[in-house]
Amino acid sequence: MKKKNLSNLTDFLSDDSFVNWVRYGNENTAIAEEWDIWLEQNPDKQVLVSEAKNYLTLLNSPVKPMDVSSKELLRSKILGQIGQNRSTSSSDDKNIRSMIPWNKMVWYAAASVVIIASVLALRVLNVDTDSSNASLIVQSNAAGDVTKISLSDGSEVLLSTSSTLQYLDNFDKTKREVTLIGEAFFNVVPDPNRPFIVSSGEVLTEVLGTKFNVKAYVGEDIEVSLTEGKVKVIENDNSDNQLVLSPSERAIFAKHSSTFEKTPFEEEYATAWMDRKIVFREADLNVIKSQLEKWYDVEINYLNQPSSETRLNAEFVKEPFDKVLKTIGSTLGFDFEVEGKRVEIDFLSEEN
Amino acid sequence: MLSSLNLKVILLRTILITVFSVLFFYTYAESAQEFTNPEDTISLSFDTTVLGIFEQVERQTNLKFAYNASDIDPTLEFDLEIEKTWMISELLDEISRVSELKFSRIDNYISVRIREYKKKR
Repeated sequence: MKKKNLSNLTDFLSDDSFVNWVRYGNENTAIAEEWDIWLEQNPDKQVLVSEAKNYLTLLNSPVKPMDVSSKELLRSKILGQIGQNRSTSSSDDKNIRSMIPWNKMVWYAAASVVIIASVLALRVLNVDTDSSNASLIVQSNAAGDVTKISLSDGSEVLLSTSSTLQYLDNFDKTKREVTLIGEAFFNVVPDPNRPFIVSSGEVLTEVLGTKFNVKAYVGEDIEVSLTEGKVKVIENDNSDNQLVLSPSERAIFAKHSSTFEKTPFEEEYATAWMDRKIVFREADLNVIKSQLEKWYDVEINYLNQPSSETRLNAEFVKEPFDKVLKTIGSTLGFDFEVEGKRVEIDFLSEEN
Repeated sequence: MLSSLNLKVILLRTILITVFSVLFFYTYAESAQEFTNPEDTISLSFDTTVLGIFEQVERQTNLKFAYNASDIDPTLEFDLEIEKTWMISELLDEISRVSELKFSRIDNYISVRIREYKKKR
């Protein structure tokens, strides 16, 4: 066998005869004998031959499956490498972003446009319907309290004792509506485009701008007293049943008959409560009980009836309950006992 | 440190005493002003009906009448000297003397009635 001049590793790896010997030497004895003779003749090449054999053996060895621990080790190394890359520079971020597929980018862009358009549309709708953005306010007065309320349109309401007013902090563009339980005096700013409506139980009071008093306590007839301008009172369930009031006129809605009655009234007495005055004008026992209960948060119980008809005339301004009761008791002839909020009234018999 | 704390306590007590004193004197002074002296006087005009007299007393003093309209005849008129300065107590005594009306005073309220009632024991 005539061998080429094999002087380095590449020469051996590119020599077919050498490769055949390494791969098939065990099966082809002729090649093996040739190379054994050649090695005896060239002992200085032993190291090179051995190295070339190792390379070829490695290349020819089958790929072994990676065990679990090796896989975990490799995985953590890769993740660690990714983390390092992310925190290193923004240019790397650009590379990551560029990894997002274009079709997803389009979806993201479309979703963003829809969200922005929705937000803008909601803003526009809110401008058109102010009341959708308005909050309901409920103002309640405890016994003895009188409070002034300023509404968003500039109108003012004086809310009486033991009364509740519900209203929106922003009226809408077509009407101004409030709900009253109890008594209140309204000073309404004129607005021809937005009627002001007071809803009080069975009665609606509709105005454009004026001053009036509404008294609508639960269980009592409803009274609307006009001091200025013009108002229309309407039965809630029957709009045909209505009445128009002029100044110094009062509409009384009788709940038992669902009818309106128009009467004159004395403004001084009708609005005395605004100065925290409790005014009795020919008041019977029911009116006395109702007034005292509203102003002093008590529950009055008549144990018996007086011997004569009661038509009390009196007025009290910010007086303590016991003084008021003593004065009325002395006038009408009764003793009373107060236990917490309960008051028992016992009419006395006349001396002979 | 201790002296600073003591100073704060003394200051707080002084403020509280001052506030309560002011409140007390204010309340006393205000209530004293509201009461009409029984020796106060009024001058009667020509209207000497019972309700006319009540109205004149209310207008010229801090007194307020409480009465049961069922007990009082609004046309009831008294023969009283007008253009005269009447002491309130004197005026009411005179009305009681010539009518069945009885008066009792609770601070600045005058309760009017025509009956006497049996007090319960």
